[in-house]
Amino acid sequence: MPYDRPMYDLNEKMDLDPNNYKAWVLGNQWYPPPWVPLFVDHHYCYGKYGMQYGPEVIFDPRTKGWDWRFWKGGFYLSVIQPTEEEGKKREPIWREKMRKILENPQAVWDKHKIPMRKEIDRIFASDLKGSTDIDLCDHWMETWHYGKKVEEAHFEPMYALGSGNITFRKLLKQLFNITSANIEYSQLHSGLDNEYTTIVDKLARIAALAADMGLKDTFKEPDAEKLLAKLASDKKGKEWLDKFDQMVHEVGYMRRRGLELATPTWWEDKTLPLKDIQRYVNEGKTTAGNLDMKPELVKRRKKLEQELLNKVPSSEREMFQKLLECSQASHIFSEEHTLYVEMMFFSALRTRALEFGRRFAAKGMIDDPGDTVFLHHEEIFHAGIIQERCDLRTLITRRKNEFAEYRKLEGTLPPVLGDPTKISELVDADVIFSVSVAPPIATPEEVGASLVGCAGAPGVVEGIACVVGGEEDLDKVIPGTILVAPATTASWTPVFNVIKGVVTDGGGYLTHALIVGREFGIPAVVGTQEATRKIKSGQRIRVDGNTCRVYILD
Amino acid sequence: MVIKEFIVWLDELGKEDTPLVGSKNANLGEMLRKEMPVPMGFAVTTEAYNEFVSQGGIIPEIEQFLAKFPQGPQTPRELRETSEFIEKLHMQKELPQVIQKAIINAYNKLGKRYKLTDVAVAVRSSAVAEDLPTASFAGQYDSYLNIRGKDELLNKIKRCFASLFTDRSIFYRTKNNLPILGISMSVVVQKMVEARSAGVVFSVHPGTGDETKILLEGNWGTGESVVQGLVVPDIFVIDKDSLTCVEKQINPKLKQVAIEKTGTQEQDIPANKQTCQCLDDEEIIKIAELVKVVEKAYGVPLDIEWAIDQKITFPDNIFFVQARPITKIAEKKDAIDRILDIMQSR
Repeated sequence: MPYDRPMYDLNEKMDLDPNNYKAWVLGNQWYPPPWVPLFVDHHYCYGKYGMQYGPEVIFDPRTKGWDWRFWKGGFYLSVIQPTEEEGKKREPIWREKMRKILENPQAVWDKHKIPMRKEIDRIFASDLKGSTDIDLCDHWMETWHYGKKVEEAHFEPMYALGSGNITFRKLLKQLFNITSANIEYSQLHSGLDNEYTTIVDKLARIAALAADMGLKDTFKEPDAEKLLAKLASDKKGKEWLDKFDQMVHEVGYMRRRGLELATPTWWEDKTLPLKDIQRYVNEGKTTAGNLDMKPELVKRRKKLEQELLNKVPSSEREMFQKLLECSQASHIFSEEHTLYVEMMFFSALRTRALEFGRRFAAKGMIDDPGDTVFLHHEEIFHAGIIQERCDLRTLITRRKNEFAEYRKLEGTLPPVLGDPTKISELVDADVIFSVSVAPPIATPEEVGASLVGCAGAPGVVEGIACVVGGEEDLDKVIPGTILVAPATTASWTPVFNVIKGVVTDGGGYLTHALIVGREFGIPAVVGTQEATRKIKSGQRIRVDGNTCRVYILD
Repeated sequence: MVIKEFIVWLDELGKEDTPLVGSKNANLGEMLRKEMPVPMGFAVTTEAYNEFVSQGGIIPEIEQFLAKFPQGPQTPRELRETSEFIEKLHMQKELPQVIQKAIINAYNKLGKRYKLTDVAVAVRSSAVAEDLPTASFAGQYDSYLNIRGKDELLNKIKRCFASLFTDRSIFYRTKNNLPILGISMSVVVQKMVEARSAGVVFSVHPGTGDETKILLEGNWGTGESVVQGLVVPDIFVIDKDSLTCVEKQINPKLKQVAIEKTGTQEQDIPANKQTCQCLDDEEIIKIAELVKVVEKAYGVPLDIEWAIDQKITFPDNIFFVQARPITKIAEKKDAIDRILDIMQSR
């Protein structure tokens, strides 16, 4: 039982029986293992709920959402399929629900996003340090249970809009032979109003400010801590730091890794954004990078939309327009939800757990304030009430040991349990599986490439590979290289400003690396399954995002 | 003395004339009344047939032959024997002079009308409705296309008459206790459209059910290639109100169907014509105009087979050869319904 939670342990006999589940896919794209106990706890309480809420609330006739299993610290997903009879019964209701969604695709995300923003702002505005223990406990449980709403916001638009994206891609292929690897597809989905890219925008702008203020030389200091000290000791530097601190204050909920609770926020460690800025200044990426291209992207998108619309047979025009709108909404949602769900909400949980940690450590209940992420939410709550009378060290040590065991297995977990050839059936049934997990379009042998992915961001690039394991390696990414990673998440976005290309193991049609790759004009290939295993750092590779192929040249 | 009507022009006919000219002729008459530009022609009436079989002594000979089978011919062999005998009998006998004259006279007039000598005609049987349920026996009786000259014409008219007695129709009558004799047949002689291009036109967009649009499909040659789906035709969508073409799809057309005397012949389309628009813009608009008129006259959405004659000049070169109410218009589905259909069929 992982972390004492009656989690969904893999029962090899039942779960690997093809009559019960077609296959299990390692969810490393969204949820790189291992997880800390508090994160597992959230998924135990509300994560799985959301995964099933999404399809249930729209009465999806083909999927009842995801089932999951915990195996060796890894998180494996499969699809729960309704019987044919159940599916038939759900169809008419699903049509009604989807009709409303298609009539105004953006609304299905907005109806969650707008109140969520309000609620999260309210949570962030609460005075943590000044609250009494009882108030903090109350606030903690309130925040925790808000997780239910957050997961609803996470999954309802995902299912509702995801099927629109898939249908649009189908129509685009049929009418114009354009696939998601074509530049036209990217152009149709770029230059959209996406709050997420504003974060990169903020970083780039403040980097530009540093250059303008003549701080370029100061930024040559490679050590971030020393850089902070140097800036603080200089008038100009101080002036810049004020602006920088203001930015960190505003968007300090950012973390390197989205769906987890173990990594620090910018509020906790402002050297994190400082390192990104440092790289921008030193690379001369001080003109807000490609984001200044936005008006250009919008113009190009609108022009292409019109061109295609003119070519669409009149009988299909309205359909095309509706689906395009839905597909664009799905892209906006896909990026923005990471900001709201993965960044803001999980940072709210983390910062609150840390406040308990600070109090617990002060009272000698734990050694390190950060240790509270090794507890469950109700353990934090109970310990929060009865502070001073309990020692949490034994429990935390046991949980840390378990975490260490899982960590050892990291990178050794197979991407699929069960029959990998069945993945395509899961993908057929569940649209979100297909936007997030898709099998490669061919085997490398078939096409004579080193690796083949499932989707790409257009363009071809050759360069030196820089293989990284996880977000803790982000600082090691060398500017001008091609990033090779198990997966990228929203928190990696700043790096896209300095790399030449991206290759990932996991991914599907709406994977982060693709969306951001398109926005930054960087060729990408995702869903290659084994890029991090086959490619070594320093090797020359060629990434062909147009055909989803990667070639190792050395 | 009652003057028997052996020949009646199609534009003088209507539904009420079915007993005299059969349903096909009567329908063509109705089409003309509703201003359909159908190719002109004439009916050889049932009276002509009756005159032919009674004057030539055909009936007594048939009766004598049939006496062999008191229960009527039953086995396939008996049926075939009977059918062959009767057909031979028809072909051996001459049509009465007065009928021949009337036919030849009408044929010549038809040629003059189109300023063509030896005008090509289609010769088709037009069964009398009381006889056989035409729906289940469609295509039962003979049809001949591209017939030129009076001799061949007379010959094919007789063949159509004789086709009243195919083994299948004899079998049908025996089985349903209908008399084998005593029924009559009329024949249509209609100008053959020498199609440069042809196809189908829908007075309502059949895919979307949009009543404001006409969908026109066409290919080179006769309309067969479009009806049979042999090619992806050129597709035009015309706005009914403004009579403007709002959409054009010129598709590569590799094959066409040419008409032979007893059937059709598939042919390759020369490369230089494959991607050419198979009818002119003015022809498209003219067809749409005619479709509007005809649809109004019929009062229901129609699916019409059209053809453009290569030997006649615009605008008289446009013909409608067949019109049916559209049975399967997409129920008027909006874009969202259609999206949901695609999602459902994923």
